[in-house]
Amino acid sequence: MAELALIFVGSVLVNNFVLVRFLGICPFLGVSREIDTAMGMGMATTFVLVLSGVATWLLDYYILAPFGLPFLQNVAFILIIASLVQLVEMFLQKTSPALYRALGIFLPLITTNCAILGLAILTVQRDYTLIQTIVFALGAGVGFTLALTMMAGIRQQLQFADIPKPLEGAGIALIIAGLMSMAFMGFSGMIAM
Amino acid sequence: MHENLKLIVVLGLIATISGGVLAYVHQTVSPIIEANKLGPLRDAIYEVLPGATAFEVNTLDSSSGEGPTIYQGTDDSQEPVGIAFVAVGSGFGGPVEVMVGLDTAARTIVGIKVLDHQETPGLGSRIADPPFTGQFADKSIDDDFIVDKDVDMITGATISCEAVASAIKNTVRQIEPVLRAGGAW
Amino acid sequence: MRNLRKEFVKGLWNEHPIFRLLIGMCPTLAITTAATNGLAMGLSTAFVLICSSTIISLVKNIIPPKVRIPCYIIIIATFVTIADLLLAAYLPDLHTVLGLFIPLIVVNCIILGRAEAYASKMPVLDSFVDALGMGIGITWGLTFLGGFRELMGMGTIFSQQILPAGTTSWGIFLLPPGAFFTLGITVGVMNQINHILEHRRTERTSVEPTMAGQTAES
Repeated sequence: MAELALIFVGSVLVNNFVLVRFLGICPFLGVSREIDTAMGMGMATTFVLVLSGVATWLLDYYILAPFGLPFLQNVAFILIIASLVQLVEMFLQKTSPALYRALGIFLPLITTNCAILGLAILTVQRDYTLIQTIVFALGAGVGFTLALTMMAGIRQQLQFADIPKPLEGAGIALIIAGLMSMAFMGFSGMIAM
Repeated sequence: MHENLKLIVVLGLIATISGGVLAYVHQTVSPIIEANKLGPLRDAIYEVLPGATAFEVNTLDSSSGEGPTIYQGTDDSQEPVGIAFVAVGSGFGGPVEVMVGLDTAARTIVGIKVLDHQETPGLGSRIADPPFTGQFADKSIDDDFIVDKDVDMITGATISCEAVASAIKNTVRQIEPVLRAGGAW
Repeated sequence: MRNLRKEFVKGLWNEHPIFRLLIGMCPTLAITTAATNGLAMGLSTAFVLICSSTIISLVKNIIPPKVRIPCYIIIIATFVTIADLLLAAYLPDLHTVLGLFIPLIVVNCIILGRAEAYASKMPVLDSFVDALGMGIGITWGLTFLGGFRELMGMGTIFSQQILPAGTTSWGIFLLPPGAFFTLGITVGVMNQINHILEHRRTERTSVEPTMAGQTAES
């Protein structure tokens, strides 16, 4: 249990997927203008992270590893993730129009979010069990949502700031991300893994 | 129906070609990759056990089942020169892996080499540099390995230094009884 | 022929994938801790981009539109795995450093983006040239960022001492925040340079229209 808690806190704070590991930077810069959309994106990503974490774990454990096919890992994982995202989209559209309206527009963007494939590969590298994988995915998702929402909060305030012209948009966003990343470095060493 | 069939055939065809190409490439390069994996380990063993020209993996059946693999180093005339093993400590950024060479008769460390770490560049990362690693040569394993007393510390990198010192100490304490029981000490 | 040159040049500056289009940010930030790493990552990405763009352009007519994305993904992932295996076999040290970010080339938006927006519509030669230009653009971008961070963080470029020994090095440039700062400022500087260039061009057009026509052609 303590180990699971460590994995969770580790992936939310110490090794934050966005600010320390650099996974999922594209949505972090692209979908962080408003807090509401940032939250939506964060939740959709967390949902897919957990689902695809489980799916790729099962695929690796029951098919790739027993048959000695680790070199097909990349192709198989990305296909699973792409089809999973498609399925989730269709499923939500049919069963829960409200949820689909909230998360739907983010789903197509998620396939190419490196956090998803990165998580799948990391869990295999670390020999995580299924439970550990779920906790790790959940932590990664929460960490992603946290970073995205904080970023959106800061950028909303920045609308009224006088930013040097060349740094408008991406430039200032990256520099803020750097400052946030410095703050998150304060967590390093907190947990000895 | 015909349309769907075409979808399946094309997708299947591409997937098959992909699998075939990858299997071929994998088969061609996997011996080299396997050899590469052994390379750094072998180099590290020879580095921490100067004089060793060969080593064998000690397959002692330790009752605990836990513990590192022991590499028994031998010189040209097949005389044992010492043992080497990987000790793992928890550093500031993650695990710190150290290859340790031991002279079992003299009960001293021959040399150490940091294999892997994620410590802060410029601070903790200096545990891998000779000024730090060099001080362990000829150190008695009965030492207490207390940082800043028995082990010179790197300023600003207490945790990283402690990770190395305690990894060595703990692992030696752990393997000695097992090796003695097996008659390899 | 002129058309091909334009396709090639655009990836080097005007439509530079990293600094202008801001895509493929994850490896850009993560592995540019040294010039060598940036160069290796750039070349690996360029290899995958060039191979997959060419192949996709070759087979674009037999792929039904409905399954084109899965097909592209398989082709890209295949080349990524080949690059991964080759690096592991022949450059094991670099393979360890780049680690996770080699398989992640699959989801680098540059590659799928070029496949979908360009290679799936254009002839093979055009796609090849387009990918080559973009590939070189990525490579110089990553090498530049890696070199800058290495210089500030360790005083070296390609492991050669550049700053006088003993100069205080700024370790922060090797850490995650340094990656964000370096890229943010580089993007800002690029914007400023472009702004100045554009300013000059408009000035020249208004004064000497013939000159401007010539520069555009040369």
